[in-house]
Amino acid sequence: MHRFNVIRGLSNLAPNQLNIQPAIKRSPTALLEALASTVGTDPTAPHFSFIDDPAMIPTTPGQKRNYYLAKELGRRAARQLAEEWPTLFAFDREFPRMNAFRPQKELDPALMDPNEQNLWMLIEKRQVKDATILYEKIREKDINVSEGVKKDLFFLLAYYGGENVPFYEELEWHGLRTFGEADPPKWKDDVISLLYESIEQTPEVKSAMICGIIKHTQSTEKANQLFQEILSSGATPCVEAFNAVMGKSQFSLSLKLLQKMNQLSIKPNVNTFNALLESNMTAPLDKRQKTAMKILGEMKLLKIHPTLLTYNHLLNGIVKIRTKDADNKDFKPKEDDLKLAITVLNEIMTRIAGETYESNTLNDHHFFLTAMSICLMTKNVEIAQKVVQFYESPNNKVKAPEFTFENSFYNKYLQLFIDTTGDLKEIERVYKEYVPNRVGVSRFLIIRLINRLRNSDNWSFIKRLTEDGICAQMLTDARVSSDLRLLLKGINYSALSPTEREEYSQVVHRIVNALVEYSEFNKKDRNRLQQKLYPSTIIECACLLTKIGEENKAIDLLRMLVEEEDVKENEVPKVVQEGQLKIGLIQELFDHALRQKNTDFAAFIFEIMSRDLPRAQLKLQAQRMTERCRLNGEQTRILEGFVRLRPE
Amino acid sequence: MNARLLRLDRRSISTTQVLAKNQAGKYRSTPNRTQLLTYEMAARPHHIGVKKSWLTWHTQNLEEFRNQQPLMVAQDQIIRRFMRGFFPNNVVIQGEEIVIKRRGNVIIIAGFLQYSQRFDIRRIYWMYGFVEEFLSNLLKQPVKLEMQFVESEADLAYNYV
Repeated sequence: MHRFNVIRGLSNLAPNQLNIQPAIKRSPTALLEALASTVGTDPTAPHFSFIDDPAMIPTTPGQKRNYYLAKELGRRAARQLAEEWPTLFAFDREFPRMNAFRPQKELDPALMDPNEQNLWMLIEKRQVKDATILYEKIREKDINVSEGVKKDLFFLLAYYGGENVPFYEELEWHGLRTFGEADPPKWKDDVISLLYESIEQTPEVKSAMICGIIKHTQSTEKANQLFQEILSSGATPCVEAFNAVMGKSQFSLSLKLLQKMNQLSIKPNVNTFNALLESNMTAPLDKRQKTAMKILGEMKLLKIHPTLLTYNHLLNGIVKIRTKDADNKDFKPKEDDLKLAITVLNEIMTRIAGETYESNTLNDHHFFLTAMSICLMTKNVEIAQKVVQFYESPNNKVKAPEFTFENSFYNKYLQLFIDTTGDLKEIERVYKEYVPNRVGVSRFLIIRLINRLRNSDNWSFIKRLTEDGICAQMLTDARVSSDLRLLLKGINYSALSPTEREEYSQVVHRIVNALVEYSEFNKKDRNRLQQKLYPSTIIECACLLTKIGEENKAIDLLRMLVEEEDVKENEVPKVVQEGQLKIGLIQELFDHALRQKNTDFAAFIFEIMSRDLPRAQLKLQAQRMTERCRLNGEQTRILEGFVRLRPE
Repeated sequence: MNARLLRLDRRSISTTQVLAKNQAGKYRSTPNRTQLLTYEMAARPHHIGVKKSWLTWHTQNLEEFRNQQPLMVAQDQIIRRFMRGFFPNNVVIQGEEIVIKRRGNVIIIAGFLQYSQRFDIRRIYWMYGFVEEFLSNLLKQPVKLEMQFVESEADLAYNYV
């Protein structure tokens, strides 16, 4: 202590002064808000739900959907058990008490007391159908309900059309939210109209009715009638009612409604212009391009910031990307429209880069898919990269549902990248980045890549593609399976390193074993899963096996073609004997057998060759075999006799 | 009476040497070396914490943390029995090597499962979801499964004795 003081005393440096910083001014709820921001739904990582094991990870979009839903349904089954028998789950030690682990069975409205409090509770929980049933009970018993609760019930019914909350609004079960198929919109007119009649019909109530009718019935007739009623009564409809009617009307009528808004001094919002752009799509293509630009100009004048849905409508107004006509699958947009669309998209991307966008409606993410479709049609990879960059930037809060829309978005980008990039290494990098997490393996993708990789020596990419193909069950697809085998066959085996050769052998064995296993589901009651072996499949597999020096296995496979199969009573054959043989591949195999001087192997191939080749050519091959394999006199005689018995 | 006393005396005083040897957790060898040993089985009990680790992880055995030791044992038994009963065709080594880890308030069940005769991935996912939710509701804390799959028990063989 003394020494310390002496040192401090002798030091000529000024002691460090401790400055207490002024406190940052925060609102009383700032801390709570910060804490609340850490809790919520994470929309970015549903793939963490999958089992982290190579056998369990899904590869195709279909597998992702099946596994995700299966896990969620398992959870729901367990939850239902806990709801039905809560006493068996009554292990009450945790503190604080966590109701999340005590699922409660929903109350049956038929057993509930018909009173206002219960009705209010059901409205709060958004149990639309149950609330309707309880309200019916309340009405039957003539129990008084306040105007406010009735109004809230009406708003709830009008918003959901009298049906339960749709899957896409489901919060807890994300599998159902993502994959649940939306029912066609329904409108329970009897219940809603009855309630509508029983409450005070303010402009707000009427506006809600208009919005509900248009949302759920797509019909504008009754909505227009109500709309006119409000106007004729001298009241002012809400801006939402204007927006709803505009979105489903002809463009000329929408313009009149806009003028009416102006007269009534109703300030339009971004949804008004979105509805106007939607209505603009009913106009002919050449007119709507000019009008769309005018609408955007008007927004700029009113200082209304466009949302991503605005840009989506704008692009759809310029170019028709797809047709609703199922017969017209070869529909192609006009060249000039595409040019204009890509120019506008470029302008949009320049404008929105660096800006923050939040989700305004449920369909905002459609912009990304439209933009990527335009890039794909115009083969413009630079703008596509800008779109991806913006989508992934932290400024963009509009995210598409991962397994459905996001899969299509990245799939289109990958297709575009494969088509426009020359460097296979670069394609490999992007492919490995996206597949299978973001983009599922599909038949279309595999065929596209096989075409690019043909005649290339990029073993690491071919290996990955083949393995992805096997995982995605592409071996059951005759064309892709054959293409994959031919791709492997095209590889220069001698140029591979020892490790790569080992990998090559493993891949070949995996393919052959899988194909043989598929053919072995030959029990009559189980042959739904069977994939029979065709002659061309066997020949291609034999070629691959000879390439890795597995002649004996190749002979075993070829034996299935030559020798008659022993089919038991309750079985079906494993091999189909009919089918076109690829003579070029058989010739290669025969040459290989002759080089190896392997008489058995050559004899098998010779017998297979004799099915398709005429006698003269067979004679020539027999001579080669006699010379190269050094057949003895008896063997030569048998071979010549075999050739003589073949047709001319 | 005397004879009975004499017999009692003989039995009371053991004259054989004490077998001071730990016999637990050791496996007898077979003539054809057919007894499969996993890594866990091959390492001796005194190797716990040296060559192998514990099959249950919690803080209740630490000094000053021993508040709920019996609860941990009971929970472990519930989890192990549930896993054995729910995945009867998938557990390996009769479900004796399931590792139960506790991290924060989360229970993580780790270990190996084997493909059963009917290897249906969708079914496995359903069972995963069911087990996680069922045990979470039962034990009132989040339970997660982190299992790895092997084709058969033989894949886990470390040695044969």
